[in-house]
Amino acid sequence: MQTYALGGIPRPGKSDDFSGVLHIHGALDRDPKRTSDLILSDQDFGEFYLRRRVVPDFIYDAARLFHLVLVGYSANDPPMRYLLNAIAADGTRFDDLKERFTFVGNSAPDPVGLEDWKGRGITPIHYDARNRHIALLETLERWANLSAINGKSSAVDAEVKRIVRKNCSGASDADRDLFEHLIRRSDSNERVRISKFSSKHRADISWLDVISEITAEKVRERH
Amino acid sequence: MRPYWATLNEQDRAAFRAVTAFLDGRLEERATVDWGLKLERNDSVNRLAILELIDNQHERMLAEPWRSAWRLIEENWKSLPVEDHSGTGEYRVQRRLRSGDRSGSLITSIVQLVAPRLKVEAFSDLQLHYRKLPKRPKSISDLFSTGLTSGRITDPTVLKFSDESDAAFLRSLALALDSAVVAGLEIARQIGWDGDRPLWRVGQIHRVYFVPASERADGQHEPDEFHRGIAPSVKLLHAVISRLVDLGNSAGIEFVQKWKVTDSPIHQRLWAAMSRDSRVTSASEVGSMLLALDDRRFWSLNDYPEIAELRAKRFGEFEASVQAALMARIRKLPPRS
Repeated sequence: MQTYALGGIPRPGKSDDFSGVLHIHGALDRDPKRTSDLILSDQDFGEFYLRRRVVPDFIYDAARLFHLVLVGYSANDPPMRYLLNAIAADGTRFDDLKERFTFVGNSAPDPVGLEDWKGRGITPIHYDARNRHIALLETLERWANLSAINGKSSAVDAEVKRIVRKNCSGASDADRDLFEHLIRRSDSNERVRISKFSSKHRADISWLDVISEITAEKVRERH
Repeated sequence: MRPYWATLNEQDRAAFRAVTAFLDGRLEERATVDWGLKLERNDSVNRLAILELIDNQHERMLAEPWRSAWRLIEENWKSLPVEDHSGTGEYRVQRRLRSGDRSGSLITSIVQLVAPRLKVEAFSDLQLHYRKLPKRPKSISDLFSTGLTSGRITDPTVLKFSDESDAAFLRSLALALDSAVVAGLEIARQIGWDGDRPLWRVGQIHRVYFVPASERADGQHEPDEFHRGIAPSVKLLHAVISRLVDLGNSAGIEFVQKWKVTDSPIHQRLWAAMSRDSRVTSASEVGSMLLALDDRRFWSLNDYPEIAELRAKRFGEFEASVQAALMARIRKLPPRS
């Protein structure tokens, strides 16, 4: 998998090049003889967050293009906390800022903790952290398999086939949402393909209404 | 022919492709027909996708009754919407008439108020409660219900036809209304009416003429107040021809003469209703016609009430031999079957 660090991170965009692991606080070069840019000290934070604004600009751009999801990160270090607060405040002025999420794992939901996330403009998604966060792991694996960028189309087909076995009103909310998402993120050729594939697997005609409504939407989001 | 998608913008074209991909090969399914019946006027992309599939079944034609069912649905989509039930349409026409408008556009608007249209709709829950639908439909009636609909009946006094003296305008209006009636009967034939029975297939009609409030008991509705289908256009046609007769215009009589030989119960009833007027049809002609009637037309008060009214109203004018023959038939009573 492609990795990038600090100055080498590509500008956020919708092209397929913008993928992989992006180390915004830097990463040690594999060659120990080479020096690496890292954000470790207060001076480094000041340099990259305030003076050169590399990290804030990256986060701002990404928040406008994508739904940011925090995994295993409390975002409690002051610079990032302020940065995310600023993005939340901008949400009232700019309608192209996407909703931000965080996975919160513990044995039982902590109402105070969840409200704190909401207060910071980040939507918490609670999960059961038992078995070494297996629920999160499985979710992320499924997510990767269904990814529009580098997922497996066979996984997408299997999900579609499974979902359309029931009619739309009989499907679970999660399945309906997933089907809608798979249609909404697709370009027109992929929509035709999924439509044909669904029909071939005897999808109830109520799924056609879902496809039809989404294709009639004026604004299309692919990611 | 220009492909259906050619009129669509880029986004609608993409939707059209997705819908066509889903429906391809599924037009011979009850669920798809039910889905098609629910499509609204603004579901143009979905409608066009279906039309595309009906017209371009490359590998094989749709089997019956599916092909006829989709064609009826197509016809239903293409028919003009029925005027809303508020009844404001006739007042809009009244205003145009008052302003001196006698245009073809006005005639179209008047006809549109009353013209019969095809109505196809999914079976209601009540219908389904009493009927089990076959898994393999054999006829259209196994797929959905069909009938005629229209706007509500129009009171000729609201349109002030009694003050209208432009015979050319009335003649054009009568021609347009007569065409609408004929088209309505043709639609009824397409959906199972055999041209004679059952008459409810064309929409109920108790009288082919408008019964004014002055001829009704207090609080009584016009006999066809709540009937939709053929009734509104027939009643308005009768009112227009009556006015032409009042004006002494020969076109009115010509219409009635044509109805006499037109093979439809509606036109025969219109002839009978107009022939109650001695200016329209002579007593000898009425007498000959009555003597030639089959039992159903002679006796059925439900299906041919105007004939009974005609017989009663003009009886005193008939020659003695005709009166005697009619009396003998009446004394004999209707056949038991």
